[in-house]
Amino acid sequence: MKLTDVIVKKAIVPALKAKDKKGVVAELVAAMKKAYPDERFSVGELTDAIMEREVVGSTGLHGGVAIPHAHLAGMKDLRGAFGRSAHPVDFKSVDGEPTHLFFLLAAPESKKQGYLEALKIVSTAIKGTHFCKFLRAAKTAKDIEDVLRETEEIARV
Amino acid sequence: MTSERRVTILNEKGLHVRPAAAFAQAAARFRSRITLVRESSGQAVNGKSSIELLMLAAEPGTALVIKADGDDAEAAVSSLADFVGNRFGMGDD
Repeated sequence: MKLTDVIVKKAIVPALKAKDKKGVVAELVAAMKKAYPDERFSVGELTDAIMEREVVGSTGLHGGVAIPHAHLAGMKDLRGAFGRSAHPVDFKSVDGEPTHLFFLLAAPESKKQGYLEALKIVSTAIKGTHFCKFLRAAKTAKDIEDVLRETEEIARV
Repeated sequence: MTSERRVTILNEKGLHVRPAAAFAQAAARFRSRITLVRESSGQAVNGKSSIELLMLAAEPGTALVIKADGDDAEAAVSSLADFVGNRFGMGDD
């Protein structure tokens, strides 16, 4: 599994407009809906599913990164979106720090193993040298896609 | 002072985002250095980093060793092992 298989260029939002947690999730789900026309979920349904899970515990992790996600019965495959926010978003993170980088994942109920693998790929990338710095510095969706792809190449060496 | 204990992941979805965040928060309450090691491969990560815990991709049934090094090592390992055994306090999530 590769990061750019899960997060395609159309699902990259370089400058999120939303200012709050639910707005960011909805904006990324909408991007995901456009990027994967095969998937039949509704934006409201997936947004609600993710927000329900956020109540159980926030997916805002250390270092200004969040990985909101949900399993949805109707999904055909594991799908992702990436969003970047120039302004800090209060995601109720583990370390209490504001969040700027968002990796949103949606997976079918049947793909629990694939989901852990996707999390491993994302977390390994985040821990990689300069990955988050490059993500913050990238200008366009294409530049961000390049950063995601370069990480894959480093991981394979 | 060092202490360690072997635990098994019981959650249906494995050590995913929320359990990782909860574990890192629980580990941060102790002064000791906390390390989680995947028993089969020896892969070791910082138990206080939610991101590093996700790098383990620990599915249900995975055996992990919790290690602590510091003046509260014993209390840390005991409390964190119970936490894992208790499915990170989140039922089947």
